[in-house]
Amino acid sequence: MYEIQPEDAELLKYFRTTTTKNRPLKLNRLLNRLRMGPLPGKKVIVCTKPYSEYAIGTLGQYRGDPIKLDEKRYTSLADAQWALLKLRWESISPYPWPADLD
Amino acid sequence: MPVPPGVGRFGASMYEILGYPSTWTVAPGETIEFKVSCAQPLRYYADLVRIRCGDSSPGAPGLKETVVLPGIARNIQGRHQPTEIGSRAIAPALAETAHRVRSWILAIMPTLPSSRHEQVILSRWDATSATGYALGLDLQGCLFWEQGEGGQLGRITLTRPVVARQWYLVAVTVDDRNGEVALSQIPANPLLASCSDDTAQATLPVPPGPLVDTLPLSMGAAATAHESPRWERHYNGRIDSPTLLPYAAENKDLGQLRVAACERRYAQPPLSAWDFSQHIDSDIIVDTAVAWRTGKLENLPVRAVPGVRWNASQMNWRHCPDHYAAIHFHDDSLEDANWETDFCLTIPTDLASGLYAARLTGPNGEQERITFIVRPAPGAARKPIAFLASTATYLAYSNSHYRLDDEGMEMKAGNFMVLYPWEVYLGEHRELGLSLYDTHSDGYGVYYSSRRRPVFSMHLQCRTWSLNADTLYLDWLDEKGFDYDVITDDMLHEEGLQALEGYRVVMTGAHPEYWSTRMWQAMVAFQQQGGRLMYMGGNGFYWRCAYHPEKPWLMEVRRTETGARYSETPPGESYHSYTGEYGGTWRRIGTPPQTLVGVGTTATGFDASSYYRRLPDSNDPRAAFIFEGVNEEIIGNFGNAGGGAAGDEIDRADFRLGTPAHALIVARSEKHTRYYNVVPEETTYHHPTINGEEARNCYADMVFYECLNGGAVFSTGSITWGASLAWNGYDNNVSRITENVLRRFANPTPFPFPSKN
Repeated sequence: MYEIQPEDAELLKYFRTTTTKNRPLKLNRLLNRLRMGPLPGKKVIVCTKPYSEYAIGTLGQYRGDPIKLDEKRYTSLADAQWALLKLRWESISPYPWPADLD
Repeated sequence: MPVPPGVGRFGASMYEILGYPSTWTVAPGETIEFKVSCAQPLRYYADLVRIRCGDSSPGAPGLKETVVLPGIARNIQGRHQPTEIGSRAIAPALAETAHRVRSWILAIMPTLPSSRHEQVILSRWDATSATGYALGLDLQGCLFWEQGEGGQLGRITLTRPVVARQWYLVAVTVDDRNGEVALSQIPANPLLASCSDDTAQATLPVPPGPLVDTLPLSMGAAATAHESPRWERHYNGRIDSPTLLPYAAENKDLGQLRVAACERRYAQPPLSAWDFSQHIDSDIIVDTAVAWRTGKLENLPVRAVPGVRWNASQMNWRHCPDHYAAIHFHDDSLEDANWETDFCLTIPTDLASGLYAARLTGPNGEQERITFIVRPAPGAARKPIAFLASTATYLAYSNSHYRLDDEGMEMKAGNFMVLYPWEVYLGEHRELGLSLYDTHSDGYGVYYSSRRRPVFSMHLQCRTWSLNADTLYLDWLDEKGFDYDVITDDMLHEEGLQALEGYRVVMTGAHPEYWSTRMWQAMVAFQQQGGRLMYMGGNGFYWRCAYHPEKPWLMEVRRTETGARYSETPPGESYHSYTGEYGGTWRRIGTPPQTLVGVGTTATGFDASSYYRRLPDSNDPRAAFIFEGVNEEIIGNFGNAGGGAAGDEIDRADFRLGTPAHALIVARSEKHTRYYNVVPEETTYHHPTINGEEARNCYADMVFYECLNGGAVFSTGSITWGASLAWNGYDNNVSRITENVLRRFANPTPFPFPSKN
């Protein structure tokens, strides 16, 4: 499993300006790591109105458990993905979220 | 706690009403039933609508439907209809208590010993009076036996939990004279289940014999005293050779479970001896101790799986049924939701073939579309064009949970997990059953899928996949004014070649992935007669499936050793229980899709789609009709599924795998991303360059070739082709190519078979 390095924080700013078609390899590696993890309690994006509204959700402990939704709603998928990126970084990376990114 | 149906998390109207039809394919003059459940009591009405398009994802044409029969049901009082999941075996009552001392012996292989609920392996239990007996596993995975009367129950529990996925020989001896009970478990393989042999004795209340003798025997669950659920405490695991002896079993009796059923010797004849190796291809179980005594299976426990005597010497259950004398029970399997019919519709004899829905509407905008296909009437004149709806594939995907249950899916998608309302609903409503892409709660792959429940892959306005994706072709056919019939895989399997006769061209949808042997043979015969085939998708003709011979609503898939799959089929389980056929990919079976449509699956990826570039073969005079009016070199660099016509799952030509030597590869996709990966059968070992950026063979081929007797094949080799058809008001090169091919294929003028390359 890839171990996140301090310099990976520098890559985060490219998340919003690239897609899987043109992402730097090192950013792809970092994102792969941020996607990994056990499902119970995992933070995900939940589309609350088809293609127009999103929320951050937390998966339950077991199959069939309700997904707990945060109150905040996002009107764009990109904004929800950015919010989730920050949550995943904060839970998986040992390094702080760069202050200049918000 | 289960989430109540229709929790209203996506607005008031979504999933407040759910339903399913009695069949997915109906002919004019036939009657179709609709079974409906509502989250809350409400009154609804229903119209019959013809569906042109269901895809409302960004950039898609959106929902297009026309009311053809208003008010097919009016003022119907909707109510919640419960659904019970979990499998079991039920056998009629048998007098046993005249033998005051007796023993049950059996082999068990628990697969989820530490479940969140107690599990009953075998019981004769009257829940109303809390009387009878049950053998089961407690929450810690320890074997117990309980018995008693009127709520005065006693239980004896072993202290050593069983080891998951290991076989045990189990004996329970009861002495009704004094209430003494002895319970024991012996691991069949002491090395792999070390230190888990155990015995215990106790004196327990004795249930009244006359009542016990009237109780049915159940295996895999225990009866409740309720109307719903009728069963509880479902077992996850296998049972082999449950046998009731009229005396106290000794170790030598337990040892008989290692002996073939026909060679067992006991001190006295058994009172009951269930031999699950008989009638494996049915839902009947046979008691060999009593002539004509049988029981039945409910809710799809798995058959044709290795039992305690399986020693890897046999891989096909038909060659040695005794090695397959096990049944695997699950707490989350479902054959039939068993909802009552709310209303029926007799299809008008003049109704055109096509995709239709009963559109149900509640007082506050609650809505549900129960989709089905109206086929042409038997014997009626056929249109030149048949659109083949991939109902086998729809049934395989049915109610998919893999994105919620498989932690590898985020990496596969190349994106953070985004759960859409239909996925959240299914994730929170497990009572609707699983898909063939899911795993059971014990981690074993799902082998069976049923139409007798709400099936979300038949929904519209959801993911661009399954039926919803195929409506993009219906939309395009209508837009271009083609006259066509809609036929289905179910029909093709049932009727064989007869279902295709009369058509000049058969057009598939985006993803005709699952093919029964009969379907495959029918399509080969159609081609041999000069029929034209337009394969408009990707990952098609990939897996063999098996329809149940007597229950057309059931389908089975055993995936065997390779292929892009989400669970591994355990050793010895590669032959279908319904047909005895070896399962897996058609490539592995020996007839790769390249032999039928010129291309076969090479890679999958779901982050972004790409485009095709024309190849020199596109200038061959034989292919001129395809590109008439198409001057661009780049094809399909647009669309509402990932932004391109080449994507999701892509196929390529391979002359070693059966692409005809004279086939023209007229275009090839390129520039797929790192999140496209070559399928396992394309690379015998993994290495870092199996991704779309680096792999040599990660592309979709567009192929054309002539067949014998004036026929021809055109293949796109991409699932997302159809999602590019409507771009720019249907004026684009994907639409133009499709139209060129369809007009020529529908023309009766034979294609001359090339005399030389």
